[in-house]
Amino acid sequence: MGVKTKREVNYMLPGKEKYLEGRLVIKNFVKISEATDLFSIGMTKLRELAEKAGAIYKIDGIVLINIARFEEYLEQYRVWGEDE
Amino acid sequence: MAQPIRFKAVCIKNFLSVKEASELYGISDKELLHLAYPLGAMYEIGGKQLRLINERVLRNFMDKKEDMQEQFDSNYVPYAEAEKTMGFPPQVFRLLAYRANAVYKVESALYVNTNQINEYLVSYRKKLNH
Repeated sequence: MGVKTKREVNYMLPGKEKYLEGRLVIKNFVKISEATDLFSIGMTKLRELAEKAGAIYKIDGIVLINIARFEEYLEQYRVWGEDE
Repeated sequence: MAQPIRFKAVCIKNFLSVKEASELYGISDKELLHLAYPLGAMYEIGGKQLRLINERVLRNFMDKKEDMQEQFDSNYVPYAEAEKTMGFPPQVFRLLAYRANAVYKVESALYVNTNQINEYLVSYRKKLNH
């Protein structure tokens, strides 16, 4: 059901939400350390991209990433066509 | 006393690395890339240094593919197999299959849509009844 990562944070693949029968809160903001697992991108690159995306929120020294905004930003990197 | 409802906070992982996606679907990296590019499920950041797969797009395709495969398995049967299973003499089966427009030629192999033959037979019964 969930994907256990090395950090033991529970991530779910899309379409599997129904299994938790309503007792589920979808996180919209995550720490950078969590986001590295969530997006499979290294911390430095992730931070660089998140800053460009305007998806970083700083609250009293805690840095959070807005997942939706970051995903929207990633859309510009989408590639259509044949594999080379 | 009622038990407090416990909520679980999770994130939806929409993006996977090529390795994660190939492990998840049990296909090779090469096969995955052949699929992901035409589907628009591939995201390349900084050229090809960092490649991510949109799991939602890929899953939609896989689900549709399974449905299509199920439909194909149930309706389209190799000609010789259909001839045996439907139990008509070969000449009669050939006539029925062609009249029902149920014969499909895929490359050099012949397939028969058994549903079309059944529908044709049902319509024939109605004609006789009227």
